[in-house]
Amino acid sequence: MYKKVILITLLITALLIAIKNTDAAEVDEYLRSTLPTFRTVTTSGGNISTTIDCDTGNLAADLTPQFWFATNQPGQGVTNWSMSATVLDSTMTQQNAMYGPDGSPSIILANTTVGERPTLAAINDIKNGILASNANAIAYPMFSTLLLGSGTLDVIDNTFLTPQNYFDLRTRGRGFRYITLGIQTTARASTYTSLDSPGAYQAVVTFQYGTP
Amino acid sequence: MNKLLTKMLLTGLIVSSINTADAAVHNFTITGGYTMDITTTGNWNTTMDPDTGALASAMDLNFAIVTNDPNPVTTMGLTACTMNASSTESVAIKSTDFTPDLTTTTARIIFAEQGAIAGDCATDAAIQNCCSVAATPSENPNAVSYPSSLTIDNGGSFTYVEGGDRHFDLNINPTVQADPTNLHLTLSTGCCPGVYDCDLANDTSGTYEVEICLTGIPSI
Repeated sequence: MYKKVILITLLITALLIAIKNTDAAEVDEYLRSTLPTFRTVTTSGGNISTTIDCDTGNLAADLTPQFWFATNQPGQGVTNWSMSATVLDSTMTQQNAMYGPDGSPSIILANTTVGERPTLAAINDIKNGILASNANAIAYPMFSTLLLGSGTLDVIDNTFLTPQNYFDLRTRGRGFRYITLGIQTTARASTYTSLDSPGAYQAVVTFQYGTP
Repeated sequence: MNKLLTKMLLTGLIVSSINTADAAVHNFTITGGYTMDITTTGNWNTTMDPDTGALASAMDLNFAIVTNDPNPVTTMGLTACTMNASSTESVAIKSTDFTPDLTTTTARIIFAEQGAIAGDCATDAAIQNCCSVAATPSENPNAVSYPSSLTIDNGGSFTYVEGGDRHFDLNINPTVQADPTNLHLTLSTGCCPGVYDCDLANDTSGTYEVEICLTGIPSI
């Protein structure tokens, strides 16, 4: 009996050694690289130049400045973007060119000829609907939302904000998309008059991450 | 007081020394009572340029293998894997050189995003697409691969094995027994063509990771 116990013990020990001898170990190391979050915007063509009919003040064609934007925002994270526009007044000060009377967003183009730039009062008269005096500034209606082009980025909000007077765009997650501001041809009533001097009329449109 | 100051200075030096490089030491007692020490050193952490996908600094990993076993050790292998969207491991290494008993070769190493957010992890298909010379950014979201070089010295060699568990079979056979056999992996900073495109923005921000595995180390 005693011999049997010893034999069994020896066998178990031998078996355990055999099992241990077939074990294999592993060394693991992790290489890690962090990719930061980015938000990118570039201009992407569209129609940004046309002529003004000197009889009516109407544009010969819609203005459609287009932008491309992208982000690698993780998950369902929301990214805020905005589109705004400015013009220079007679003191070379930037003024917001967008306004939204009666929920109908519009944009002011201002004469850029030296000595013919609109006064701040003229710009404000258009915004406030006081149309008696708005020399060298002409307003045009915009589409009520930004025009979404092709892309993978999920747009969850596309609204013209008042009284801030800019387009607020929100996207979810990662991807890219093209987006266009649509400016229509017909001048807003009484914003084009004989007081408007010849010259180049301009607004600078900006699309950006965050708010203006 | 001077002693205390000296100790504090030494402690500071040691801490800064540890912080300057990633390092780890592993000791094994292998079959027959021999020993194997494996010291890993290298640069294991960096950042990616969001415009290009390039690494900010070259990553490398060195396994310094010292054994007193007089016999060649042929059980060991080197592979790489990364966690995929199904929470399983995908093979994350790919070579095209099947020449046996090499001392230097090249391979692709694939990193995958390890975020906890659903939809941000790479699928196995995306990881495998990064292995291909015909990789297409739209087909490999959340995975990025980099070219690498692999070398071994001190009489060692390796042979690439294709298949489901792509890996390198190692032959550790020190010419100089007391010296380490260095198995060195160095990643290029620039990513492989077709694996990153910031215009598509389909590689989400976050931590990209790959696990480099030295397998089959004989031990008791």
